[in-house]
Amino acid sequence: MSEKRPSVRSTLRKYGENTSAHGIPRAVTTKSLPRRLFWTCLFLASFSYFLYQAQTLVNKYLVYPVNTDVKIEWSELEFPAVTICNANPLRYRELIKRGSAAFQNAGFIPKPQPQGQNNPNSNGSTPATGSTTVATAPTTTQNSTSDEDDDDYDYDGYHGDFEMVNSFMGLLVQLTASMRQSLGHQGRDFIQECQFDGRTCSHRNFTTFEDSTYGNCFTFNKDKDGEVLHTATSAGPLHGLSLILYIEQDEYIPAIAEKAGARVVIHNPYVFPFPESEGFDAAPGFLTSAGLRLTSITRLGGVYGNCTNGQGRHLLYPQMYSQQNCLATCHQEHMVEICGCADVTFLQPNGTEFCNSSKSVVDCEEKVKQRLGNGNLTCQCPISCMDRIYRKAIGLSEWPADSYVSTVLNKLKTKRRGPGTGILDDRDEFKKNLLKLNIYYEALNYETITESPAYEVENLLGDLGGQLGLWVGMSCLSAMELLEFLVDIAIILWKKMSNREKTTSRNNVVNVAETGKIGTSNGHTIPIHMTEVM
Amino acid sequence: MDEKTGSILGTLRDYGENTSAHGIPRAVTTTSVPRRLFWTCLFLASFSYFCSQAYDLVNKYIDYPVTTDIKIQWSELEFPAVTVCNANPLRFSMLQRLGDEAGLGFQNAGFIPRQAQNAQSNINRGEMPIFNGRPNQQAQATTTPTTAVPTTTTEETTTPGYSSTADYEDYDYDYDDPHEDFRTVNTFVGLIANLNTSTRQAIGHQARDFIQECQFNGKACSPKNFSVFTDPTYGNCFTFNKASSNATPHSATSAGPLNGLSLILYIEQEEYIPSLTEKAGARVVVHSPSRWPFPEFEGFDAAPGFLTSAGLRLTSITRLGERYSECTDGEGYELLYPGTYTQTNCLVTCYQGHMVSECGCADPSQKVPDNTTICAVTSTNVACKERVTRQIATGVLSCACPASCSDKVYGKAIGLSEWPADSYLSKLLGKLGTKRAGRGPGAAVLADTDRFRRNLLKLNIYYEALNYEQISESPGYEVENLLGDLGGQLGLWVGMSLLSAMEVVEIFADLFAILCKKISSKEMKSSNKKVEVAPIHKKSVFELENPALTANGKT
Repeated sequence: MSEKRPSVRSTLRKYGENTSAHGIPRAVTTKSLPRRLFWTCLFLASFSYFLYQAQTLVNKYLVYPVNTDVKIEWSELEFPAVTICNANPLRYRELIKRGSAAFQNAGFIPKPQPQGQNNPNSNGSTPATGSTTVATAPTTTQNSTSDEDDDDYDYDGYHGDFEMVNSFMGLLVQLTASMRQSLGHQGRDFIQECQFDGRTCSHRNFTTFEDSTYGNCFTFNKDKDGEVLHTATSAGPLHGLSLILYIEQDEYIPAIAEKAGARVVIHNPYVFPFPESEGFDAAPGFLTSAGLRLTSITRLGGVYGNCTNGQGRHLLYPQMYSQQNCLATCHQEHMVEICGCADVTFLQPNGTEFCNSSKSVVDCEEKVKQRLGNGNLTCQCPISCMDRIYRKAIGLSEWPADSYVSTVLNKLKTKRRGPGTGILDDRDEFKKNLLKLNIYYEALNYETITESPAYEVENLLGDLGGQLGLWVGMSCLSAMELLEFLVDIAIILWKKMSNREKTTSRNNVVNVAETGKIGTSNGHTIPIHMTEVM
Repeated sequence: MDEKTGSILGTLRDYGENTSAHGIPRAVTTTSVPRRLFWTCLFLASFSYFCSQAYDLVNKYIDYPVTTDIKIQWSELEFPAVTVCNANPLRFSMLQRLGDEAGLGFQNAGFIPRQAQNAQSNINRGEMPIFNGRPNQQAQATTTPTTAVPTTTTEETTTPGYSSTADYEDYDYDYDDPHEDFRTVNTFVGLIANLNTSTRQAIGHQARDFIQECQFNGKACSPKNFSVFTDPTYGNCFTFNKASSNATPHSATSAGPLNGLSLILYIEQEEYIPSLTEKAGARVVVHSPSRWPFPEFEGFDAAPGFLTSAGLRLTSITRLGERYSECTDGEGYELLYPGTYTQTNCLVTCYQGHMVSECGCADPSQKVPDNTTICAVTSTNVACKERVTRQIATGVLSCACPASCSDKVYGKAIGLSEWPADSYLSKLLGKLGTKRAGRGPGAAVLADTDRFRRNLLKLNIYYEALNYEQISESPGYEVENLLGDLGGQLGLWVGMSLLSAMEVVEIFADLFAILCKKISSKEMKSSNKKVEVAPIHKKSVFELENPALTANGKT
């Protein structure tokens, strides 16, 4: 502002001489034209290379990369929830006694003889009737499939077993919940012995729920209000959960229960279990031991990755968010929306009806599955931000050992609701009906996997600043200098404009300088005028 | 320095005009007050923003983040050590033959029959003395118990009674009453801990009986390739390929069951202790050759009558340690069990140490340190043990046991198939039948297929592939990254560098010099020596390092 009359050229020169950006002063102050050209080109080249680098850096930042840290920690651990189900959903004898005609028509239970004499005898002769049903009852379905035995795999016909299971589930959901629970295997029969951390427990420590495939299932150490979860203070089988289960094989439904044993799910106590998709099987006559190792995963979420803590989500199944739960909910919602009825393999949403097994509904069901599979129907089900994974080392050994049989027998015989002498006295029956399960931590150390932002805004700015400094020696303040320079230019132009107007309106020249002065002192307000003009 | 008089204002202006930090020259050189204000504010704002960013960066650096790299590599691999134990700790026939003093404890606890009172104990079962074992029915135990004592179990139990839940003697889970099985195991472990090691080894299952057939990498091996140790729970355990000073561990040259370890084990079910051993089979641990195995915690079971195959995948983990992640290479740790440092080994050592200091005796379920007594099974000891376990778990008693800095983890895919196949049985019988008398399972076991299947098992342990996963850590944000980011930020916001910072130091030195001069000149004025003032001024400008000395010298 030392000059009397700032012109555009002089402002430009002044900026060029005084700017803190490197290279520009050289170009401005030098007298030789080639040098000026050289420096100008150099500055422009450097600046454009910086822009290119800046773009790469911003792109890198916008990917929001994460670092994954794996740590081994050690502490007292919450024991996982253990859910056990009998492989058979309903007790056969109960079903015969109380089942509806629908079950008879589908061939799951024998039709009563015309004489009506069968009923009083049914209790005693179940094994016999059971075997006859296998042979006679499902003939309708067997006939249809046996012709196609040699068929290649083809998408249009269902396998007989698949149809059988589906029709059974369809019948099952028509019973009331309390009826289903009472028809299913009971916790006090199923769980003969329970031991946790060296202490006795019983079926009362288990929470019952109903699974569409496995009937009554029992969960140990489920998260309930007002109850503290059990913790493991020590590793090894002696400090884990140890169960003797009685699977009641003579109660198995001949047409549907193909395997004998128990289904076991080891899961996060806060999350609902899905025995059919997540569990493993334990066979009778064996001790199945599962040594656990915990991996606890925390994801960042937000911009860093797609995960959710489940807030504000509507879920079909109780307890906390899990991806499985969300997918089931989503599937059922699509079913209700498209087919107008609820899939029998999932819980029934309020105010809907279960699908029947008519052709159109089955086709619709198939269509929904296919569209979900190929992404035509979408489910917004990201993984959950906090996850616990239990790695299992499962091993089998024979149980009970020959010499231990008598010890087990004595223990079970004193029970009021034990398996009964019929089973206990026959070694073969015993091995077919009882199993032991040991679930324990292999070690109390666990792996934590956490995510942390790998490239944060301060790293981006640091890199940008570094690049800017490296190539053109500029800073933010240099950029502000540029801004100031632009403002100056704007003022000068504005003055010139008004000057011209004034000369045309024959105003005197002295006033111009005054307005100029006022203009510069009010440097901050002027640009606003300018933008308005533009 | 072009000004004649080194006044404070002049020096400041001089600095402001010439500094390489951006913004300041603008603020100093401009004549308009708003502009000066604007530039000053801008500089301060930029600088403080830089400070906050720098703080974040330094914090990030001090966290010492690591990046985890996962690589798949391929090479010839060291074969892991394989430890096999019989599910039963001691041979029943040998236990019965123990001398009087030692045998008495087992008799009292009901593990072996008392010679006379065999029949009587059955009746009083319900009363349950403090540490009773199980009623003794060893006479019937090996045969199938076809006739058992009739009990009160009624037909009613098989009928469904879904309405009646209350009619029934079940107890809720409660913390005060240890389960019967738990007590039995603890009592037994306490009893065998009192036997000396050689006795325990002698009455346990022997390698030459247990390991009937051994094959490694297509070559025959024998029980002599196994080293024996005594586990508190499983008795004699046998380790193949254990690291020792005079032999290099075996390595696997190719993948697949044929190139792995293949064992036929004879578990001698007739020798199982009736009231103790509930499961029949073998316990298997696959572990790094240099470290100690803990069969109870880490192993898996193999059932008789089956071929259990375990396909292995190696994951090798290397941690950085020091300030990057908490881990140790085990130096300076005194461990209860031999072998390299492992977290489990350290925790067990720590637990036993706390037991000895808190309860005054050692827990027999772990190795007992020298010169300590073994905890007798009394209620105070049990309560004390309970308390120590809980206090360690909750951190009241501390254990400094970080993870090991280098670790080998073997991922296992375990599968079962029936063994032997019906048609293979005769071949197998022929092979085992040719064994020397007393070494094979014996004619009685071989003749009876059912008995054969209940006593023999096969185990295949092999690498699924010779490639392995290597997980290693590297520093995620090192000091050069920090400096780069700091420099970048400093450049971005205020255009400063380290040398600009030195300019600031310079100006402080200048100011200090001026102040000194002023003071000395004032003193000189008061002592009326006006003439000498000017030269002192000039001199002090060039003797910046020692202005105080100059001033002192003149006064």
